[in-house]
Amino acid sequence: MKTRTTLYADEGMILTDGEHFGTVIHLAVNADALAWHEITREEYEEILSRSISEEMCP
Amino acid sequence: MTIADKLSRAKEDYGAVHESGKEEGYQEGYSLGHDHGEQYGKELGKQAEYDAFWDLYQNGGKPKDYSTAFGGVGWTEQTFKPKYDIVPTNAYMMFRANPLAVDLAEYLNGLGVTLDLSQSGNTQYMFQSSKFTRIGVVDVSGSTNSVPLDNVFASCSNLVTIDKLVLKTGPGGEFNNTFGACPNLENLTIDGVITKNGLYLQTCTKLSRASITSVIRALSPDVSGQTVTLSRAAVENAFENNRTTISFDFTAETDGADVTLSDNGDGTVTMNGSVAFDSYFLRSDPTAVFSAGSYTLSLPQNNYGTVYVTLYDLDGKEIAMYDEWGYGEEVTFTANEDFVMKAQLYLMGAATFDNAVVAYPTIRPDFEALKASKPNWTIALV
Repeated sequence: MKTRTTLYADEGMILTDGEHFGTVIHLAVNADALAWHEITREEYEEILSRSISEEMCP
Repeated sequence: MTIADKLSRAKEDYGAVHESGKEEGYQEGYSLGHDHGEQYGKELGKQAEYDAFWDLYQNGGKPKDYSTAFGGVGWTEQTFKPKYDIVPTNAYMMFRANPLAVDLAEYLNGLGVTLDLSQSGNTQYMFQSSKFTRIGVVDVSGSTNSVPLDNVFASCSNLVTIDKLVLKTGPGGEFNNTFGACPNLENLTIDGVITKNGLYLQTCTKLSRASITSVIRALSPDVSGQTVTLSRAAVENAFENNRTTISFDFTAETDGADVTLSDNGDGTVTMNGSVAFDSYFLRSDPTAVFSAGSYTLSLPQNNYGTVYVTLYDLDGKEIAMYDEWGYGEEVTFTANEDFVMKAQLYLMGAATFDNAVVAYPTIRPDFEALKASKPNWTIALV
């Protein structure tokens, strides 16, 4: 039986696969853990604010 | 003055008073009638104005294009008084930036009208940046948008409850920034199946256990490579930190016990005294109802006896019983129906207790089991 792998970000870091973000990632059973890497929280917040300003204006 | 003169004078006085009274009566009646008529006229005019406006604005109550209809910051409780049930064929930006900080479902109910979104082809940006605290049923099943819930609740800073969100899968997916900046959202029930990426609930830090459960249960079991994002704080508060103590009620089942019990207020009880027989139970009444779902039960060990927890359905039928010896200090189970619990402490043999401390069992909802129910989805917590 395949089980989930859980990834935990280091303190002050955020895990991302380029589209999603998290400090804890419960991977699907067949998901590729290597698709995820860490960025700093500052980088994450910059990406977030950029994407919100793009998405909020129809 | 003769009697005849007096009578003549009285007749004249009576005539004068009569004329005077008639004149005053006319004046007063005229004034009252005028004022009443003026007020009545004003009300008729207002009603006619209200009818004319809403008949036109709502197309006489027939389904119509409501795109941007109630959007913008100018709406107030004096002006937002729709006359007919609201049935949009187009709900694009329909309530965008509406400033009313009200329970929309209750507000419309108070006006005697309903909101039926099921026929709306365009549903995007529907409630974005509005100030509603509660929105009733949001049915986007009729949406023709590639992403039906694109920005629909984005920046709804006051929003606490969405009674039900009825989904439709679009070619591009269901969600895009749908719940961006909804920090107060607690209650969300999803009706439908989520098939694609795009559901980000990371700003919803107050989302309840029932809401998180609803989201996870809505994830399609038939897709792969998809991710849903939840607030880590919400998950921790709704599951890991949502612990309930199952207290004993200190009722002895066996006669011959002479034990004083003190609730320490910290999840433990202190016992002093003795029991003379082999068994002695402290029982709790099963009153609190737990909803169906997965739970982790903690059964703390002690040196004086065994803690048992028995689950019953709401008809009083026993569902399961757990104890620390058979199941260890923690056991996870899934209840398929609502249940109540009874905790018991079984004290073995004659014994004396001198400030003996026993911990109560505790129970908390189990995120692991919920997560395990959708192994094909990656669940990101941020």
